[in-house]
Amino acid sequence: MPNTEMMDLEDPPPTTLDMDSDDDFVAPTEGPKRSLPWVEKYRPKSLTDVAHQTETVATLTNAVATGNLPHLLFYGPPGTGKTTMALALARTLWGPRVYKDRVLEMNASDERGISIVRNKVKNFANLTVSKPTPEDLKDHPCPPFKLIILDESDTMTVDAQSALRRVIESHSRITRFCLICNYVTRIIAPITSRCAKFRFQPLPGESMKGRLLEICSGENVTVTPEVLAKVISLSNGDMRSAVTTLQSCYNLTSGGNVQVSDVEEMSGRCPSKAVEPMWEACKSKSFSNMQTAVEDLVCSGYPGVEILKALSDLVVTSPLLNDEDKARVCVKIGRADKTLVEGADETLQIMDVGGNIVKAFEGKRI
Amino acid sequence: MLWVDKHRPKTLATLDYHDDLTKRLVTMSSAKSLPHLLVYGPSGAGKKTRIHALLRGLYGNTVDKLRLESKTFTTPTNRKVEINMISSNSHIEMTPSDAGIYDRFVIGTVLKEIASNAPLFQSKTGVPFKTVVLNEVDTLTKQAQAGLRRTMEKYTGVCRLVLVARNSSKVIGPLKSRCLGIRLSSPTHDEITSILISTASRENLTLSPALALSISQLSSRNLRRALLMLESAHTMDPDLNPSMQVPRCDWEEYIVRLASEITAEQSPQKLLQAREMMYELLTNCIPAGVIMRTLVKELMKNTDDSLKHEIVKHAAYYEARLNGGSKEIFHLEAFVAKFMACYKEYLTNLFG
Repeated sequence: MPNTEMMDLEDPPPTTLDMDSDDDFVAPTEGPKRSLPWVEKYRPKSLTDVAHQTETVATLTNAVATGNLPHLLFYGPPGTGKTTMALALARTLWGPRVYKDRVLEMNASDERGISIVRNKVKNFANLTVSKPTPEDLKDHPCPPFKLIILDESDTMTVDAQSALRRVIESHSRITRFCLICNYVTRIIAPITSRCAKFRFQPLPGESMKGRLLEICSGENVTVTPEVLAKVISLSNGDMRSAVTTLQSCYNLTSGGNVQVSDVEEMSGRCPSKAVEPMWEACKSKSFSNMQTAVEDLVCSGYPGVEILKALSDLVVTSPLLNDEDKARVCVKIGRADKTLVEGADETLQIMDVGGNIVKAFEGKRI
Repeated sequence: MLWVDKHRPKTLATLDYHDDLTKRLVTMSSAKSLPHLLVYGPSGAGKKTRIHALLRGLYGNTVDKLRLESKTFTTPTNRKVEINMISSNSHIEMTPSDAGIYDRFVIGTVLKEIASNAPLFQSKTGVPFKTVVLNEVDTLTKQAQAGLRRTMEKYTGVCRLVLVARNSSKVIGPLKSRCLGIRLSSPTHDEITSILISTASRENLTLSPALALSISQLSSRNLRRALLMLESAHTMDPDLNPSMQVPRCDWEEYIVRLASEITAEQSPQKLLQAREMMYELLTNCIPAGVIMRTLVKELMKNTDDSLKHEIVKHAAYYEARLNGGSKEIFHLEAFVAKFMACYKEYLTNLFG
């Protein structure tokens, strides 16, 4: 039996085009058994399978039917199906045999400086497309162009993006581009104006629930409705994180009963219970109490940003603070969050926020 | 050998605290499967100890045959980067942030190398993948973290990643959502105390609970530091007299002195003197962040509650800038100057 695993992973020689994206075609059920994560195993294979993004699906299905595809720009928060949609589109357009020659997928792990755009992308865009055999045409429309998928394109440098401008235009006869990013603001305007933009929304609870139940029945896993609800509410519309959380819970309890508390722990969120002592200390209007509470909280190892998130929930819903104080505290939380992501010390930042909350309780102006 | 290393638990069964977590790790190692892991928590909480115990559970004794390699990578821009890594037949451990801005390239190369050398047949250990332990992922560049996203998914079959971070706020969301997060909280004072006592008894010493507790409190719930302190206490007084003064590190003493100097007098001359002291600390390789944190803690010990918030506010501000800036002494000095101003104003308001 040929080892597909080895073939997928072979590093292509630098002169040829990077085609290793074809490992997406290895069906998880056949070939050497490999322990694929559920996220990969249940990645939707066709356009209509993609959950929730109905408008995009409708537009793209229409485009596939007419063979008239614009350049695409997918943007939206993580885990909403952008990459999945792009791969599914490519799969619908071309069958597995033609796919190899027609699709170039690049992401942040590949070198994507200006030189790569000049050489690799341009060369691929230049290639003429081969005529599909009648066999290929049977199931797939096989339109006469190629697709270049640039995943995580908001990490491309501005120079590389500018180099792309003319490439997109001059090769549009035989090449379509599909750019995928989280933040559309990081893509330069000349590029966005050349593409049809599709916004991917966070998934609502119901469509996630349906999907998760499908996965559960596929894996022969039983979960209680409470656990499912918790997974969905913690994921904030991020399908990938929901599926990963579910799988980690299942794996770690070795197939036993998954508890709601497990879900909370696995998701890496800071439960409001953990912030409670600090909140109480703030209420007592004593800075020293708050100080010890914060030191304990940081020792508990929760990520600083998650602590701030839990804290902001408490602040916003608290009946004891007036609206102006809440707003002022939230400004401080926002500022602390920014500095934390930039790498500031957690204890000091959280203590600063705590100090402001103490002040708010004391009725002093922050 | 230091006591910290000598008495480090080697297997999952001998791990001391966090029993729930240990149970989960045992499940993972006995199932011979491992998701990508992100292990995070404060320093001295036992992250490395647990990872090594887990690897030993997975691969057996093969992880003990370690070799230290120093590898040279040539980047696409023809720069040579040298990285030290520790590896055995079944795992590799490295700190990619040592490569500075070339970290993305180093990680990519190492993972591809592992993937291309993947065994055709199952190895003796029965585990079909290698494990790569990446230390200090929170100091990786954003590009390297973004590069890991797809790489992680692509090479899942042949290698698993264990990411170790102290501050998981700096790890990007997409990476977190691909990993199983394992949070390690610091051991409590009780846990540290009992570990200190049992370690001492293994060295044939008797440690009084009171002394153990005071060591634990000085260590601020950092087990590694507590054990080091115990050992240095032992070298000072081989009998570990319960009433002995636990020695602090000399740099800590130095910062305590700095704190008392600047609370005693606030003047430009004093600031100049403080600068000299801080330079002394920096040239002795004490990280600026550590100086700041220790200094703030000392300053807050003897001040009024109303002033404490002022101190923390400014410390948080200057500490954040310290991370963004390039010359540390400026920010440290700015904080000291600000503290002096606040303290002086407080004193004038108090006594008129």
